[in-house]
Amino acid sequence: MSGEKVSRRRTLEIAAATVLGIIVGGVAGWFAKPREVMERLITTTVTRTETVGTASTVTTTVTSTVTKTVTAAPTTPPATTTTVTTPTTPTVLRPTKEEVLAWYAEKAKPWKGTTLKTVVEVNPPMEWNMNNAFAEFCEACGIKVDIEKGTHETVYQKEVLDMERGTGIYDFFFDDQDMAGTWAIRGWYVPLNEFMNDHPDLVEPWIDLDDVFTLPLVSDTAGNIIQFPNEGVPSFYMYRYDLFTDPKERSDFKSKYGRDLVPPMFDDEYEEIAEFFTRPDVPLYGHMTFYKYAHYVWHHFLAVDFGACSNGPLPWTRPVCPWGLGVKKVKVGDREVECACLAPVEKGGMIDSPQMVEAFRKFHEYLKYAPPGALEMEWMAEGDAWDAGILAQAWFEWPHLIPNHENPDRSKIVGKWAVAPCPVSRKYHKPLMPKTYLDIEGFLLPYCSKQKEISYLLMQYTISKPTDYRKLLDIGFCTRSSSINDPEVEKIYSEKSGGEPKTWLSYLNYWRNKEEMKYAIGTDPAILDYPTICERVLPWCAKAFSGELSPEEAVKGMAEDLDKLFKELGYVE
Amino acid sequence: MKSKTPLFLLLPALALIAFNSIFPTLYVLYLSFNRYFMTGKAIEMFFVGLDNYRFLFSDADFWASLYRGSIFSIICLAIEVPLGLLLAYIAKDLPRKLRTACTMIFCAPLLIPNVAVGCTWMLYVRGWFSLLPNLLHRIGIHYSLSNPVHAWWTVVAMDVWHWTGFIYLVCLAGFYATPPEYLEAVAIDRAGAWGTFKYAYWPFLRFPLFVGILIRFMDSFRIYDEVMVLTAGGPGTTTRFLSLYTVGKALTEFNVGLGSAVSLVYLYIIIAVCAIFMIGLTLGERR
Repeated sequence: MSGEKVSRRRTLEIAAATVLGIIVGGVAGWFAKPREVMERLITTTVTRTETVGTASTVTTTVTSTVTKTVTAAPTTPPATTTTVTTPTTPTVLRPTKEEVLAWYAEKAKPWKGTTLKTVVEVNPPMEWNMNNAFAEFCEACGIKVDIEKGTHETVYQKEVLDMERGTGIYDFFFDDQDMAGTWAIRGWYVPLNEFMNDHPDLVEPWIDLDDVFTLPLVSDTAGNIIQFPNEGVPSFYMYRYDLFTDPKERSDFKSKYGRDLVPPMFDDEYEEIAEFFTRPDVPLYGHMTFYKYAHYVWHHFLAVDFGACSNGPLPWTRPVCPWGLGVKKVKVGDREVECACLAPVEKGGMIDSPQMVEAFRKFHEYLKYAPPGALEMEWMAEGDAWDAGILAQAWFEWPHLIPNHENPDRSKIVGKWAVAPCPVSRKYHKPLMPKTYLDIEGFLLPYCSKQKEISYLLMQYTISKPTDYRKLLDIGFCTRSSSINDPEVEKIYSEKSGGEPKTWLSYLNYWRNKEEMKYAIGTDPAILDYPTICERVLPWCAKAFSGELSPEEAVKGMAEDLDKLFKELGYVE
Repeated sequence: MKSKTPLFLLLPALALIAFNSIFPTLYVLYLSFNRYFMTGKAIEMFFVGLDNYRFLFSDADFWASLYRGSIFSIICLAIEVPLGLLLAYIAKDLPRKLRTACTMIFCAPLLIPNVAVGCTWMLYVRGWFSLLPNLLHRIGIHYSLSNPVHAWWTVVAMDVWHWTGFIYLVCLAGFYATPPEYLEAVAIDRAGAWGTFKYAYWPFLRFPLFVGILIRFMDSFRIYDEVMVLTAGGPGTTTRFLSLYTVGKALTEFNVGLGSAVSLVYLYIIIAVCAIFMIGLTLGERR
C-alpha cells in the first residue's frame, strides 16, 4: 500500500495539543458563571367565561391577571391593559354548505392563487379534512394547500423548529391540544379571538363560538383561543358486542365468575374479562393498549383512571393535574402563571404515589392477556388488532379508528363492537375524579405565518356548522353541540347500528351522556413543556411496562427525573 | 518553489466543507455550553459552562445507551465481517452469471432506504400476523418482539441482513485486486486454501477490508432509523442506543444545550475510534 507513513512524533504532537485544548477549555468552563435570564413580558388583565362539559351544564366566571411571555414576535408592542373576551354571536341555525362556501369564496378573493403549506399528523379525521373540507375550500376559493404528512412526533418537531426560529415555513398547523400550554407560555401562536377582533370582516356570520363545546380546552389560562378545535371526542372502553351478547359466552362467564358479562366498571372486573377471553389458540386476547409509546399510556389515561390526581371541584382537579403533577404558581419575571411542575409526593405531586405504582403494576401484569408483541405496538397497530378480530376488549381506545373498524374492506368486526365508559381503579379512584380523556385536535395559527388571513379562513371553514355536521355523520367527529345534539344524527347512527346499542349508536349515546362527559378532561393548560416531559418519562414508563424495573423503582426514578427536569427548567428550587 | 495552484484549486471544496461541517460543528460546540429548552419558559439561552457535560456524564441512561450501542456494533461486526468475507470467498470462484446473481441478491438490501428496512422488518417480525413469529411458532419457538432478548437479536439480524452485502462487495473487490502472478506463485508452491488466502489474497484484501470495517463501525454505532421504526428503543430500553438518546434529548425533549453536548461526545467517540483504527492500520503498514 502506498501513502504517507505516520510519524509517531506527529501523532504525539496532535494528541498533546488535543489534551491541552481540553484542559484549557475545561478550566475556562469551570470558572464560567451563568448569566441572568432575560425575559420580556406582556401584562394582560382578562375576564373569561368558561363553559364546562359538553352541553353547558355549568358556567363559571373567572377573572384573573396573568402574564404572557412573548418570545420572537418583536413587532408586537407590550400592552398595558387589555380586556380579552371571547367573541360571541347569537346562536343561529345551520346554514347550507353552498351558502357558506359562497361567503368564503367572496372573502378569499384577494388571496386567489395562493398556496398554503402545512404539516399534519395523518389519521382518519385529518384525512377527512383533506378530502372534504380542504378540497371544497380550495375549489371554491381558488387556492391550494401543500400538505406534509408526518407522525405525531415529527409534526411537533417541525412546528417547534419553525416557530422557534420564526422561519414561517408553514402557514398553519394541525396538532393536539396537548401542546396548548407549551404554545401559550412561549406566545408562539396568534390568539384567534384577537385575530377575530382585528379582522371582523373575516369572521364567518354563522361562527357561533358558544356552540363549540371544547373551546375552553383549547384556550389558555388568559382566555385566548389557541386553536380552532376540529374534533373533541371522548376516549372510551371498547369491547366486542357480539361476544358480550353471545348466550354461550355469557353463560360460561356467569358460571365462572358469578356475575353477568357486562362492560367493566373497575379494574378487577376488567381483569376477569381479560382472563376469560384470552384464548391464544383461536386467537383471541382480552387486553391491549398502545404500549410502544409508553408515556402516552401514562398521561392519557393511566394516571387518571388509577386516581393519581386529586379529587376536587370541576372543572379541573387541582392541585394535582390529571397527569399526576402538582400545580403551583411559578414566577415568570414579576408575574405568576400556573405550572404543573410538582412530581414527588412530598412536594405535592403524585408521580411516585401508590396509585401510580398500582397503575404500572397492573398494566405490566395485563400483558399476559395481550397479543404477542403488544409491547411494540403503537395505537395504529392496536387498531389493526381490532380489525383482525383478535381483541375482545381494551381499557382505553381513541375513536379515530372507528371508520376503519366499520370498513368492510379491512375489518372483521364491522357491526360487532361497542363502547362504554373506561373502567377505573376500585381501590384508588374516587368520585368526582376525572376519568375520560377528551382528545382535541385543532388548527393553530403560528405568529410567524406569512399568510395569516387566508390560513384563518381555511381554519375557520373546517369548524363551520355544515362541515362539522357532515364530519360527524361520516366519521363520528365533531366539535359543536348543535351537531352532536341534532336528532337526525341519532336517527342516522341508529340505522348504521341496525337499531342495536352498538357501534355508532353506542358511541353517540356515550358521547351524549352528560354524567360521563362531566369527567372528561383534556391535557391541563398548566402543562407548559409537553414534549420535554414526555421524553423524560418515556424510558421510565417503558421500563415499568416491560418489567425491566419494578413499578416502585420506575415511579421513584420517574419522580426524581421529573423533579430534576423542573429544576433545570426553573420551576422549582 | 512549490506551486500554490493545487491549494487554490482546492479552496472551493474546502470552503464548502467548512460551511457544511466546520461552522455547524463550532456552533454546536457553542450551544453545548449553554442551557436552552426550546419550549421552556426561558426565552433566551444562557451560559452554563460545563453543566451539560456534567449532567451527561452523570446520567445513567447515557452510559447505558453508550454501552448498548458499543456492544451492538461489536456484535454486528463480528457477524457481518466473517459472513461477508466467506460469501465473497465462495462467490469469487463461481461462474460469472452465477456470481452476478449472488452479488445482486446479497447487495439488494443496500439499496433499500433505512426507514424502509425498518418497515420491512416490522412486517416480518411484529405481531400475530407476521411471517417470522408464525413460522417459529410452528416449530415450537415462541418468538415475540416484546421479549428483550428476541428484540435485541432481531435488531442485530436486521443490521446484518442490511449491511453484509457491503462487506461482501469490499471483500470481492479485494479478491479481484490480487494479481494473477501471486496466485500462480502460491499454486507453484502448492500452498493450500489457507496458504493461498494468507499469502496471495490477504495482502490485497487487508486494507479494503479494514476500511470497510471502519465504515461499518461508524454506521452501526450511529444506527437510528431502522431501530426507531422497528422498536423505538423498546421493549423497555433494550434497544435504546445512543442515537435514540441523542435525538430524544435534542429533538423530542428540545433540550438544545444537552443535545449538542451529546452530539459532540458522540462525534468525538467515533473520531477517536477511527483515529485509533487508522493509526493502528498505518503503523502496521510501516512495519
